[in-house]
Amino acid sequence: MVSSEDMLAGLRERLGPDLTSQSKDPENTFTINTRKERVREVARYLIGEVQGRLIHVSVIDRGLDGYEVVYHYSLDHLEKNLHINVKVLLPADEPEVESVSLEAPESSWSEREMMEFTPVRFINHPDPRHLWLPHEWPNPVESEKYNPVERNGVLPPQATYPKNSEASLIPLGPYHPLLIEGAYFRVKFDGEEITDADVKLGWNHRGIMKLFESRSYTRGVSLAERVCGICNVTHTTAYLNAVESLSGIEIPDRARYIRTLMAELERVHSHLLWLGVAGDLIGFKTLFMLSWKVREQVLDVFESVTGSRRAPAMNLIGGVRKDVSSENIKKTERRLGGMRREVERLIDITYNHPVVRKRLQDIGRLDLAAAKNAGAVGPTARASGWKLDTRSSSPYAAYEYATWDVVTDGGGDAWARTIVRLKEILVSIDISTQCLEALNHSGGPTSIEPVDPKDFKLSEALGKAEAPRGELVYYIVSDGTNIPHSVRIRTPSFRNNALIPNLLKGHTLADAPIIVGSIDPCYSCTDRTVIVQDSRRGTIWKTALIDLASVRSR
Amino acid sequence: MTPTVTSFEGALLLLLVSFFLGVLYSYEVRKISARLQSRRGPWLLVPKSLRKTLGTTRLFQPLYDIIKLLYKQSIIPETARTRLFKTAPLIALTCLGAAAILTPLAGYSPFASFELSLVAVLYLLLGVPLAFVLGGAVSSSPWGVVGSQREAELVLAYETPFVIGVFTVAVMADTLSIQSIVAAQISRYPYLLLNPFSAAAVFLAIVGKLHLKPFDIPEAEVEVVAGPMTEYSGRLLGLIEIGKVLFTSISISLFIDLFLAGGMIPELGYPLVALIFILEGFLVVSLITLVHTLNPRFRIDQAFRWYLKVPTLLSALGLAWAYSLRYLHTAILWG
Amino acid sequence: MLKPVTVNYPAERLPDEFTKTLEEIRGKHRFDEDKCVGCGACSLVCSSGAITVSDSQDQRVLKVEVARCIFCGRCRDICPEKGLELTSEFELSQTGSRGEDCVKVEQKISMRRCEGCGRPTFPTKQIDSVKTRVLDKIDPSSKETASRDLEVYVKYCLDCRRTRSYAFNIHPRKSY
Repeated sequence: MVSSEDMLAGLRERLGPDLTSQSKDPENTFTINTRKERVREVARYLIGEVQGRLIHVSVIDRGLDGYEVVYHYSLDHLEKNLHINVKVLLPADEPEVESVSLEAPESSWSEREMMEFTPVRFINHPDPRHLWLPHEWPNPVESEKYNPVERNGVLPPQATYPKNSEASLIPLGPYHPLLIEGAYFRVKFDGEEITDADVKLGWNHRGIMKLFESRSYTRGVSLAERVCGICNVTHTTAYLNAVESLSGIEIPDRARYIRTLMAELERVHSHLLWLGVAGDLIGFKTLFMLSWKVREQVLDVFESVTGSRRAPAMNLIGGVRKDVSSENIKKTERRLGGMRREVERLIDITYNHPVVRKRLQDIGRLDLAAAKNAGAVGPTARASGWKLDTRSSSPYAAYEYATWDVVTDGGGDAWARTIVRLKEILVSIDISTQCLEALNHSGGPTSIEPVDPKDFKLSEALGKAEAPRGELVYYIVSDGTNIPHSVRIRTPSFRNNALIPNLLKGHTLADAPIIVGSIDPCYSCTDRTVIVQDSRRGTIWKTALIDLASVRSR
Repeated sequence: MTPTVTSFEGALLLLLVSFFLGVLYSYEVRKISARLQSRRGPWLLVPKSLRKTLGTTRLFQPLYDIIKLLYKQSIIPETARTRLFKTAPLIALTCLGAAAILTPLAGYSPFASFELSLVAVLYLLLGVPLAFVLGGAVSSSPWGVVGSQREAELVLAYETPFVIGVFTVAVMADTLSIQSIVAAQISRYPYLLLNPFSAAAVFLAIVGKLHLKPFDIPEAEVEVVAGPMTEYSGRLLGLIEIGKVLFTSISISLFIDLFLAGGMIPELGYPLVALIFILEGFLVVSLITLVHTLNPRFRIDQAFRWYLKVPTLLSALGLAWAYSLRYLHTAILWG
Repeated sequence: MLKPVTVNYPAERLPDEFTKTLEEIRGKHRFDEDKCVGCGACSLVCSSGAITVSDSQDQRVLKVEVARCIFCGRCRDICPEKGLELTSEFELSQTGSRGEDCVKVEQKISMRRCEGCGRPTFPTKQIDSVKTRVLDKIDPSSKETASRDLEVYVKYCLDCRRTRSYAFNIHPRKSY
């Protein structure tokens, strides 16, 4: 284990004169600038020797100065909150840099996303296809050279007859009852066994990062809340962690407790939702109804405390919007006690039902080395024995004041992921009870005045939070106005969805839903409307699409 | 006591009664599984403010769903084999219609004199999986093909305990006519008490036949959208749903005839016997619903292995038990 | 397990004591006729642009398009007069989000006309409210001068004030 000074010394030693500048901000985030030829070496050092994680690659458009590629490394296994941003400035007329995903496969999706949004090319990337745009669009995107006939990479689903059932291609998606939202898994079958799989997302893309860049910081809180329907509070918490780092303010203690309470209740609700969905995916509709019955009680707590079941709009810059009254605290404590008993009953049902075990054990195995290689986060990583939790390694809100444990399990299969999530519900109820006690005994303000953006202490900041699905990262760059210059979001499902094709291989079609479901994918979080354009006729209208659809059937 | 009318009208009446009983059994499955899941299910008594629009009761909700399907358009994929696609539900319906007429319902059977009704019904009931496999395979949808494969595998799994169990009953009654089996039980005891092993084996096989959990594998919507029936819509789907309802009714009637003496208690008059038959039907359906609600779905290979272990062994045990009973019977009672 | 948790909606609704405790629900807007002064702060802070302000000769109309609202509650929080509240009416479905039959909430305030050019300036209530607030907070020694100047200020629109500023002896560097 290396300390942060040793790490910096090691970097300085390796890069020598190529390390052009270095700074540190009060949040324990280092920034170094270097030349583009050394990025792979830095990655090799920070990931191989220091055992850090490359959490995201962002590209910030600096106008006439060029494009700034920022590699965000998280070294919070060394010290709390330790991050390092490695920046490379590329000239605007030749924005090329070598891809880091050969050293760190976990960054491959981040680089693909940035290649779609900006003209930066990551050369020698092992999989440079589009991530959000349809595969048929030109790559790189150049509007004059659109050719609808050339389709690179994707085959349409084929009709199969029994006689040529050697290797059939079955489309799981974009519309399939196993998926909650749109996603496309193209799977190759041999009978019932899956021999190959590929994933294509982008069906839910709403352009949120672009929307952030045209709205002020206060309106951005509402926008962050609506990235995902399940993890609203966590998105606002991560966004506000970043904005409060930029402002250099510390929120009062009471606000910390309330934010933690909201986040933990959200985790309970999300894991109960997942339990129901996992039950539905193995065909256990009764577990689905029962676990969502318990989840209704959490949503009732949200409604009575904040006024809205989901999108509670409780967080704002500088703290929380309103206080939790003592009567609400008493009601919530009682509810949590009752909920704990019911959750234990649900855990009983899941553990002891023989068919549930048969369907979940030995399915979708992800061992520790593969998890570290692919950069899994959240309960998916914790179920492979990796003790990775943002709440303990980069604490925010009141997680340092409460006593709790990180839940891990060594199994690595869908059963282990179920166990980890079920135990986390109990841990979250525990933390919520501790927060409620603290709120009962203390007073104080619930928010402090936000700072005018022209007085921001920093010009960029990283905000992290632990969503129910894993580590959520917001990277905000400000230019002194009240509208952010750039916002880059890396959601946990962005990492976990990349694991799915490898997990599917070797299993049968019957296991595909539960493998996909055990990762707890949140496609809304991953994507951020597709317009079909025909270069001869312009935009295809809805009526023409309907005509096309009706040609195929009688 | 029982009318023995072998006429066309009698058979048609039996078919209709069978269908309506099937609708009631479908309703019961939905209602009981909803109540076990803390939901409400279709209304038995509609709340007062909605009675004008919805009527007093929604007891025939499955029938309304079928009627709705029957007046909708059927969309057939271009690459499907249309004639076979349209014929598959008709094959199922024909076989089921014939099986319904041959199975006695509350003692009434227009073909009571047919000596081989048990064998005929067993073969006719195989027409339903045949129709599913055929319809799925020609529907030119990858889901149809996978669903057909699963249906074929499942039939192999559950048919063995079913056939062995049913023939055990024939061995015990020494006849192959269902009406005579019912008569044999009336004079002694219901075969549920004499041979619970075969009853259990046939019960578990029926759960598989009706595509109820844990064996609703061919129609698992999270895996194969709707299996063999994915591309069916409108009128054709309505015909398949009619087939499913009839299938439920025939299977339950068969179970009651073979193991519960067909509801016939000799001392009671005819209307009461019919009531007892229906009540026994509801009881069996509620047991099936309990199994259906409290279980997730098996994988097809797990289902196959399970069927080979538990129900087949039970049915073999039942067969051995039946033969030993026969020997004891002849040795002790007649002997 | 047997007792249903669902309610026969719409024949039954949740019992009253359940909904009474949920007065926090953010539902449809309601402008308080007396308190709202028509300043339009709600429209400026609205996250989704659901509140629009349109001025005509005689009145200012504040319109809330309920279909665009995301029920964040910022409008209620920022209203300086506490004249906008979010009721607990949440059954707001409609068939289209545009057009005359969509659900909307409107508030009409009468505007004061400029005595110089006749164009509408500000809502009368807003002018009164601003006058009260300024005179409340200003240093007592300058109160008299301020109230005299305010009387002249409010009669004219911005352009007319500019053209007459020398004659009225009101200029920005006059210290209070």
